[in-house]
Amino acid sequence: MKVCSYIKNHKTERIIAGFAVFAGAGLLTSYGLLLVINTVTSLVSGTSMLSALPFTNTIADFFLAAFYFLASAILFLAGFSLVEAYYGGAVLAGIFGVCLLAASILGTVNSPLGFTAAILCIIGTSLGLLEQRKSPATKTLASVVIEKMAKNSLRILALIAVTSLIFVIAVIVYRGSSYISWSFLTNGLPLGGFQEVDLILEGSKSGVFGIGPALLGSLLVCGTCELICIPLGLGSAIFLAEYAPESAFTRVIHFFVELLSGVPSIILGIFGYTFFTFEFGWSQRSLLGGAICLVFMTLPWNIRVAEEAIKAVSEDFRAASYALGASKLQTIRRVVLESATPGIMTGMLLGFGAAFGEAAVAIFAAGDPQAPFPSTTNIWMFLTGYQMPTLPAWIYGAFRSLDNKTAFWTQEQNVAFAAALVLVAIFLAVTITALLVRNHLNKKLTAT
Amino acid sequence: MRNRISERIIETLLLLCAVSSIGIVFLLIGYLVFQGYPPVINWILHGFGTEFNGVDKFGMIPFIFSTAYVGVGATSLAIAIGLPTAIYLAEFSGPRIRNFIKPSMETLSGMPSIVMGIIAAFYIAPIVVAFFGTAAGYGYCVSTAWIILSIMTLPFVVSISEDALRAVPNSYREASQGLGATKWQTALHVVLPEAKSGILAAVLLSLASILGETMAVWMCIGSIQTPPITLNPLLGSQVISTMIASNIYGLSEGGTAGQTHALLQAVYGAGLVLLTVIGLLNIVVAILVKNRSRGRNNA
Repeated sequence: MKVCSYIKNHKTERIIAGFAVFAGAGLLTSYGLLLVINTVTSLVSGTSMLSALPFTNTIADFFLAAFYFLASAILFLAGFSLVEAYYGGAVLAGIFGVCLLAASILGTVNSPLGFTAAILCIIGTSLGLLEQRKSPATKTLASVVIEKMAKNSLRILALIAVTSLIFVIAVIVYRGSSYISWSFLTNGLPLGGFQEVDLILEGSKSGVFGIGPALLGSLLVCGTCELICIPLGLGSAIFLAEYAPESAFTRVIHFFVELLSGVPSIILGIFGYTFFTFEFGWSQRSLLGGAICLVFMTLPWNIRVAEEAIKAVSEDFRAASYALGASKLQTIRRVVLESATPGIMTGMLLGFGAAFGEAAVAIFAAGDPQAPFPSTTNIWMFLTGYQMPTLPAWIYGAFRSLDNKTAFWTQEQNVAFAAALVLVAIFLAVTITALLVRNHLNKKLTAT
Repeated sequence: MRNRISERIIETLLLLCAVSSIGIVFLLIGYLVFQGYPPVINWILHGFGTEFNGVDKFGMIPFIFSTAYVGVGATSLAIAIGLPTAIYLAEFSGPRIRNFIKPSMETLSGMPSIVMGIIAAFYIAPIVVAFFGTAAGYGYCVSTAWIILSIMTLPFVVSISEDALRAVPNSYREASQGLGATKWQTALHVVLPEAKSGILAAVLLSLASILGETMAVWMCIGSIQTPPITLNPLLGSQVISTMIASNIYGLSEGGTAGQTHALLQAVYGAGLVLLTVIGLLNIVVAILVKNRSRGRNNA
């Protein structure tokens, strides 16, 4: 009865337009259902209902079914808003019809099915548009429907965004954790590099080879980078915030800092790869070369964050310090820097995290992951004369040795994921500490 | 007196620190120009060329095309998911959800690209193969690069456009809803147009970071020596940044001497082209942001 009265209350043209799109959506749903049934039966009985498909194609069918369901859900919404005479529904159905048509011609969707659904959509759209032109839309119900539709589809998209990020973390933790052990963290690679280890056999014993030198090298490179970066960045920030008045000169410096933060890492990588060898005669790739390139990357970070932190210190503090007879330098050192420390630390930690995960610089400016850890007592040679293995480069090397085996889920891939897990764990620990420090600071600032 | 002198010395030292960033930029760009000017002049005088063999032909058009194709595709994908997410967070969700999602997004926006690279190579490439079958080869192709790049820039897009949306004064929303508009209508017709320049800045910044991204793309795009000029997203390709990476990696594993020098120059020239494009994008964003803050202050 309800359906009958609903239909009576709406114009026939709208009903026809909406139901044409409903029919298209129904077709897609039925095909999706068929795919799911096929997948389930073939998983249970081992043979496919529709045709003899191998296992990877059942996964494909599953994804395809999800795709069909999503498409038909959108089409149902479009049909409903066509019945309610809302213009947006017609546009949505039209766009979908054209896409389906293109997909069926290209053969991405089941072509006779996609073709029929597309024709139905386009008929519905044109009827809806004609009807729309004749009579103004009934505003109230339509806007309520659209409101709900919009809110829910926005929610779905937000969910997709969050899911994709959770997926990344989950995959790394799940695949990597099985290989993590103390000896994986401390052992190195044999002299011949990745070619000499059987990643499955020796990896599963987990103790024959590991990321030890690379981890140490990464920490050394990033530590050296911070040693150079902190005084330089802090000095610039103090100068910009305390000494230089707002002028063309400071604007130029700010502009160059911005420019430097936009330089892609690969440019820094090739710079490090050639500059220090050609101009200074250092080893092709070295600890100090890598660290200097990383300074180029983290310096803008450090300057910007430290400057903001210094500027956020209340003017009253400075005035009080001056009133007590302190000089400018004393004021900066004792009052301003002390209040700005959490902010400066945030910048430092974020810079360290970014430098730690930076692979292009590590590979091209610091060194080959398969190189032995330099053993020399001469500090300058240690800094510039030898290649320094790093963790990102280690992961890339492992990937490289797996490169031609692109199967979906092989055990040897877990080795790369294990090294990635270590990298991500350190990166997240550093970044989260930085954010906690920042939030703590913000709370303190708003409290006073 | 002694105090005054030491203050002057320290001030000078601080000035030197501040000037160092200018020095670094000049060093970088100067070195790039110094190393890569012959091919760039050649490209400007004789056209960018369509062939690249790494020995005597260094055409750039295939790389420029594929870089634009990958960049625009990935940015559109990131915007298509990121902007609605930002609208949801700014206009519809409660503070609890926002306070959870926003910081985690910010944490993840710096996710090391090498990690995203192995996810792309070991998960997304097989999924693309599962979807499109043998047409996609091993799945090392443009569409895989699109997907991983859009996941990488998603937190960035969401964060910046949510900030832009939230910067719209609440009085606008109240006025619109007071006139009887629904939340969605307010978001679509009042808040979005008002936040337009901020969202445009987010789009351009994410495009710039996508163009500069190397590792994740390098591990999943297939590294064809000369990328085909085609719109088929299932073919392997090579963008400028990965072309630089592949060639330098090849050199580091050994190459003949004569080939090395010319190739190195071409690679530096390509780096110069890439840096110019990214620099221009950043400058446009800086101008946009400046205009916006000026508009706010006048209003």
